[in-house]
Amino acid sequence: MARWMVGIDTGGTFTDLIAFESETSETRVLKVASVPSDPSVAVINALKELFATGVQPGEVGFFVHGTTAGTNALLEGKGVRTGLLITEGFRAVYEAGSAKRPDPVKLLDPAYTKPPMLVPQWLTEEVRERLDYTGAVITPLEDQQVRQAVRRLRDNEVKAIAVCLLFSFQNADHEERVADVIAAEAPDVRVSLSSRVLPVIREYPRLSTTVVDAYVGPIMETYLSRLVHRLRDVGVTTNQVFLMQSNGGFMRINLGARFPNQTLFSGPAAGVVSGQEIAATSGHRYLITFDMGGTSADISLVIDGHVGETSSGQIAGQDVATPMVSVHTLGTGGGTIAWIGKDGLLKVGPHSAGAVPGPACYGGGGREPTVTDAHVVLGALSGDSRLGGRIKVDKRLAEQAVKTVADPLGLDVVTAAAGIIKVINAHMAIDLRAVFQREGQDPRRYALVAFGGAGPLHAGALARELHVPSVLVPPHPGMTSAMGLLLTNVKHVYVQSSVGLLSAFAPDRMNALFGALRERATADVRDEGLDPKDMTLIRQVDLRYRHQGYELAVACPSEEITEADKATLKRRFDEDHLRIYGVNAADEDAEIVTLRVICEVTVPRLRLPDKRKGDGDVARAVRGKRPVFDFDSAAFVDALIYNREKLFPGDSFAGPAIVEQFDSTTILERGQSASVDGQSNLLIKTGA
Amino acid sequence: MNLDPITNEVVRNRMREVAAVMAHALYHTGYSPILRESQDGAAGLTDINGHGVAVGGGVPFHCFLYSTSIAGILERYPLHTMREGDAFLSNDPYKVANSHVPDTVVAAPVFHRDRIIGFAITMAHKADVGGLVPGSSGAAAREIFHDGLLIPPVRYWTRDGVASEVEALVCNNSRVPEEIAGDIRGQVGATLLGTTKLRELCDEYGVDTVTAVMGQLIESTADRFRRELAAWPDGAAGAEGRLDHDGVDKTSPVVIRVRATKTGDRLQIDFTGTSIQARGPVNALQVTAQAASLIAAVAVIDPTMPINWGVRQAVDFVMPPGTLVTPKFPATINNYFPTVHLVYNCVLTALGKLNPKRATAPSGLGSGAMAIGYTRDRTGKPAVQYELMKLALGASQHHDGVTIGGPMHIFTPGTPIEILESEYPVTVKTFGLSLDSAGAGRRRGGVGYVREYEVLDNCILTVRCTNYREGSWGVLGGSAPRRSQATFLPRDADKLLLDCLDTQQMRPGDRVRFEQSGGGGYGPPHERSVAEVVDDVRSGYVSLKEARDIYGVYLTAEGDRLSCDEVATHAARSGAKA
Repeated sequence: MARWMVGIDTGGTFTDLIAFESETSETRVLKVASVPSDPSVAVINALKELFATGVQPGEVGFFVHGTTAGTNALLEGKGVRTGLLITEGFRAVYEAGSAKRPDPVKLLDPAYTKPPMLVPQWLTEEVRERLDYTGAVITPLEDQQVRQAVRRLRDNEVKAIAVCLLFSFQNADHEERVADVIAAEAPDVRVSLSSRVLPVIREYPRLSTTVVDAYVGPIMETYLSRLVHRLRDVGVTTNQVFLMQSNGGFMRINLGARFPNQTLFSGPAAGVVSGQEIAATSGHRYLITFDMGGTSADISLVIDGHVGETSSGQIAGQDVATPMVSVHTLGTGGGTIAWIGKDGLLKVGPHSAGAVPGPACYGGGGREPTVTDAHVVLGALSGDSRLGGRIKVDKRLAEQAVKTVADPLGLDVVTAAAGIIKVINAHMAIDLRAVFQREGQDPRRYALVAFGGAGPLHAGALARELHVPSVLVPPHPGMTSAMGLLLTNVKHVYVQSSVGLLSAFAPDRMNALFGALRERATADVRDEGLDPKDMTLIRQVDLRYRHQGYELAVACPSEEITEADKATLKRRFDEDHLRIYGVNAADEDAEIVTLRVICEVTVPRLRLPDKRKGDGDVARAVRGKRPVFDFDSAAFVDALIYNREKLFPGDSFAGPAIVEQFDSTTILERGQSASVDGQSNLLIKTGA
Repeated sequence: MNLDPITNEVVRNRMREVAAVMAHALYHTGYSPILRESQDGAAGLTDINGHGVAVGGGVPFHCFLYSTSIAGILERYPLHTMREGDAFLSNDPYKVANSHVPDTVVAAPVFHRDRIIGFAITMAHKADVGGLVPGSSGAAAREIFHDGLLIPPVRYWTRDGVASEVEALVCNNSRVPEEIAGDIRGQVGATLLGTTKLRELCDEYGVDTVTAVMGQLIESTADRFRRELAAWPDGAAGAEGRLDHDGVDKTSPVVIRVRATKTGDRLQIDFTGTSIQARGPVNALQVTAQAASLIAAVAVIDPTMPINWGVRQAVDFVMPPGTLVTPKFPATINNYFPTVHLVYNCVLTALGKLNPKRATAPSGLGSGAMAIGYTRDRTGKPAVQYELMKLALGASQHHDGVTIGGPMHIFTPGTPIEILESEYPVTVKTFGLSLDSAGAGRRRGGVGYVREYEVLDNCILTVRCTNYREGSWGVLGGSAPRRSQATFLPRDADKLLLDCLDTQQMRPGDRVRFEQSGGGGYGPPHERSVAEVVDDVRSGYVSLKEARDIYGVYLTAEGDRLSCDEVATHAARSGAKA
């Protein structure tokens, strides 16, 4: 019997499916419209389309889903009514927030406001208790007082309660006892304890993350149980059903409702996984992934094959400190709107036409010019293209929209359209350069990987401006998040803060802390129905110099830490600090802040077969030619139009050219050349 | 030169990028973590005249100081004496307009081929440059020479590297010599990076294009400012604020008085009536006071315009000499920030009176910092717990004021309680909200906060704040917020209200409690909706008494439920309107 692996990624506009049969290497990709009101409907619709191609539901042996259920609840403010229990006397912690600087345009606005609190003060109750910095009890918890607080929240009809007490990462006893009281007094309420969600030092990020967990938890529960039922209803019987996480790995779906924070950034994370896979197979170990869709673009760096990690995520202004793949999101996409600023110059963004009405050329009622409309005017996208396999573009509408900015500038429509592309490329280049700068990386050793419907339209020009010598366009650039779903492992990250000077930190204490994290890993992996013997573990310590406000994660040299290992940790920390910040303080002691265990379990993965080599004659792929705007000469030149499906490994051709495929369009500028590598990536030499 | 609108827009963005890149380097290449954590510094580019064209980083008002800084350097080093690769250093406020002595200025000429086309410049806080106390800024200072080593403009760096004699002299005058050396070198690096990036921009777009865009940036901001202003009604309005005292005679307040006059597309800001210069450290340099005024003007007039010298061109100042904001050398200015914060609030208020549609209530007053010096931290070493005080911001037409924020658009994260207690022998007893601290109004000011510490070891507390007696105010019928105050609570003696410039020896078990002001209210409190007042009461922002007495909303609490006496409420509210 055939055994299909299926990955389904929910996006804002489309839900993408990729299916792969491991024996025959047969592959299917398809897109269906997303259903924001109930994303599981689109998941089932995609499966039905797959089954219509002859795949049997019983043949699905491995299923991975990238969900935005929790993300959307946050973006739309549609989480559940949530209560919060905090240590008595500390109502200002949540109110103060992170003091992050607002967007530049808001920086000097005297009427700026902070992002809303997901729990108002009147649903926040204080718990009489206090621990000191070692976790020792200063003020003992009183069950009776907690009971009254919980009853008030219950009477206010909260569906979830977040609990975040000071120093609970050192001693979870008080929080656990609060959970017991909630279980007795309000058994239907979902509880999020900060000591379980994120047992790390710094009360505000821990509190915010715990509140987000509570706020979206019940939504995830409902969504996942509905999805499980629907999968069963259409005959998908495998128990190998996984969710993509923000950390770039899977968890079994039965853990999903337990860790709702873990899936909030799964879409961008899946894209990065695809980038990492390309780094592993293409011979390019240093990549910058550039995933540009309709409303935003995600950037990440793959440094020597590895993706960075961060603990400072933000969605809809809410801080989420769960460890996750490091992705920078820019507010620029194909739908980004061009307009005339108060200084009379051409501005592009940050507003977007979104999915509705969308760019003017889609005929959905949009009147304002977008980046996509500019591409239509300039010939990169044509009236014959069908974006996403579905949307037909109307050049006349695009021209009308661009004219609304061309006229006040005193420019013709083509020059204005070219201006839109120049301005948005300048914006994106600035942000891309900043990513390189922050990581201390040299763009000249990098390749840019173009993802998303719009990524390959901008990649060549951007790479050239950034001095990045080559661009890789994978076979399905518009499907990379779905692809990433079949390219990774089960992965869990466990963190535990415990502060102390490295020199004075007893190895036994470190080993005990690591041991406890390992036990949590073992328990979760067992709950997932996997064998703990298959776990691989990485141990890391987050170190800083005293009084610094940030840490660097340093890998432990061995399983059992000894005094000698501590010197190795210190040396690695000094080296990393020097590399990233240009300075270090090697003669100062380092401080341990947090310990971390990363647990992975290998599962089956997609292995795309090498495509057969072509005959070298690219004429087979030429669909025709049309005039396309050339930025260097500021004039239209005739460009050959290639059909991506008919390009094979070994093919090569030169710009000016356009490569069309159902999920994306690639521009090859004059002076650039492209070839198809063994994995069917299009490799563009940018001339930088 | 005729610039096409696309190139113009692209090069402008690229110029802002250069400033941002410099600021990033400024925060990340220094030795001490202080600058990185507080982001108390900024970086920018100027044209050949020293006029700021772009600024990046946490303190945007620095942009308006640059022309004085560059003029000060040019006075000693005329253009023809400058060489490619040079960087000049100074921290003498009376020469280069740094806000106070711990802020060092580094500027470097940007050469394109053999021609200087502008300057890269940075201004950033240093941990210690000598002076009366660690950190350099002492309450006992009576002249600028007490504030630390005064470095005149000197050639600190050349193509061959650092001027080591100068470096040795500077370091020899700091309590933390290695830190200072590393931080200044980092600052030089960030500044020179700006020269490289701007030169690259010239190579890419042509030097004439880049200099033309610089000119246009300034011109278009000035135009935009004037255009927005022209749509305002002509008129004049004043505002006045007070500091508790001049730092020496603690019995009488000192006054900032501002009068804004708008005629056509010109704005004049007149400081006549401001108190004479203080003997203590609360003076602010003329250019710093101007910079705070300009930031306030931009905030009211159009906060989305790019900040550059063009704003300065559109505003005239009348500033009689010898006042708090025009002190004469050698007046000390080390505690300048509360003074310019007050200037900001006054200008914001005066402009709001000129055009009530743009009015915003001012933030609470009481900015500054406190420090607790311990002989032993948790690891046994001497250490200082330093904390910038936050405030609540004022309300505006559509929004309640922000609760817990930085004044004057300065955003600095606070140290987490769990970090504080892990590092220092201290317990934070509370970090809560102060009931009834917000200025009442149709839009309520932000809510003030209370933060109390109990120290577990002997230590010295230094309070360097302001406005514990003289508070902020509301606008358009909104109420003033409650004032800031600090209380010393010794374990075995009576509590004691602290002065805003104060020092106390603390012993284990002693406590200190800071209550920070709320923000000013906007519009009459009786116009706030009953539902919002109910929310405020339920949230612990407003008491039942204030709801009744100030907002005219009659609520009674029965257990957890609030019920509203609609008849009494209606009577109170309609009575007030009649």
